[in-house]
Amino acid sequence: MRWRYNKLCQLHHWSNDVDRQFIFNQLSGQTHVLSRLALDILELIKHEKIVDDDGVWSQLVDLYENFDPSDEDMRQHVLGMLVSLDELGLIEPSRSL
Amino acid sequence: MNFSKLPSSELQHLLLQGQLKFRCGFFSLCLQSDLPELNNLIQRMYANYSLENSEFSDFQINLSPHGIVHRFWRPQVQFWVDEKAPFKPFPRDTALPFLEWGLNWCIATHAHHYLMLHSGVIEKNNQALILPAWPGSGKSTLAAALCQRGWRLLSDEFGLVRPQDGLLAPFPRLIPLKNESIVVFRDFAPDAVMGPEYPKTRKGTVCHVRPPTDSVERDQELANPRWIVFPKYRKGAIMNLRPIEKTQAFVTLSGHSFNYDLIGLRGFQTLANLIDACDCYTFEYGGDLEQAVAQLNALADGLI
Repeated sequence: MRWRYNKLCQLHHWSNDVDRQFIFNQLSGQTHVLSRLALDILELIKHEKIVDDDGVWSQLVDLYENFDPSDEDMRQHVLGMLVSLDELGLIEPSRSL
Repeated sequence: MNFSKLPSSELQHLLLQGQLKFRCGFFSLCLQSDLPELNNLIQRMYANYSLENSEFSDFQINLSPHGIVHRFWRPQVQFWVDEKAPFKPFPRDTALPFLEWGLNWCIATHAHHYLMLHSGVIEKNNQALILPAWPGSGKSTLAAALCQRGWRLLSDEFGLVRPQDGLLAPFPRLIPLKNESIVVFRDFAPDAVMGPEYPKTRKGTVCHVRPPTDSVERDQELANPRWIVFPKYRKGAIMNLRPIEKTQAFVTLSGHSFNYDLIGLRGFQTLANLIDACDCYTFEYGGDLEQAVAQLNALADGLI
């Protein structure tokens, strides 16, 4: 699956704790509480414009020193997060090549 | 001039004519009523409010008998605001609680220039303590108790946070105590001015405490938020004031707001700034008001 950032979102950020990142989406009026990992995924997709599942995973492995590239459970967890971010309307699938 | 200095005949005349205009915090209210039983009650309980001459009022309120049949059989009273009746009528002998609840409704549904929190707010040395809680958690009792021991009451019901500067706006009104807390408070503050008891309301027995004179006179004085304390009364509980993470406070406090979802980005930013400015706690207490007040005084005095 290829992903892109939802450009209609206007996100505002607040946090006082590494593990709980508060995001206000001005488009939906909703507040989301994300983990640091989820926020990093969001930032990564925003920066990359379009990126696929493998691209997200490989960049996270580079970003987080403690990530094991062969850790399939963690990889599935990250893929699940992509689906969750899509459900929140923060990212969306991209059909562009 | 305030209510206490107004001759009762003049007060009655103004009430009948719908010209009883007064200020509470940053709101201007105009009251009309042809219920004679309200005259003395309002004069006593609203004694310290300042009368206003302004043409403009935020809310034009009228309390009047409801229906012809109900003038004689189970008399009822209707609450009108700006010529609309948002509620079903109440029994006439609960006119004062109806007025107070109606006023709360007016603020909660209109004052969206503030981030509105369902909370008590009290202040000492220009540092405000916010007490957000669900009904039955003891916030009104705690607020009433603290303002009998040197704190200033901003409100027992509304934390009104100004988005532009994060300051808290006062709205000092009668404090409605319910059920067992009425006796507990009478023992705690026998000199406090209290109204009649209203049994069998939807919330049980209700009795109002008049806000201290100083709190009403300083109703234009904004306050800096300093502490957020989520109180929880539990009969027999051992008192426990416990720091909590600000992120947890954010989630809980947003749930205690009347309009966080409604005012969008202003709500998010105002709440975030408020949380940043405050130390946050949960506070469980078992009904010993002296002990609870001592603990919150210690917090305010930097001893905790």
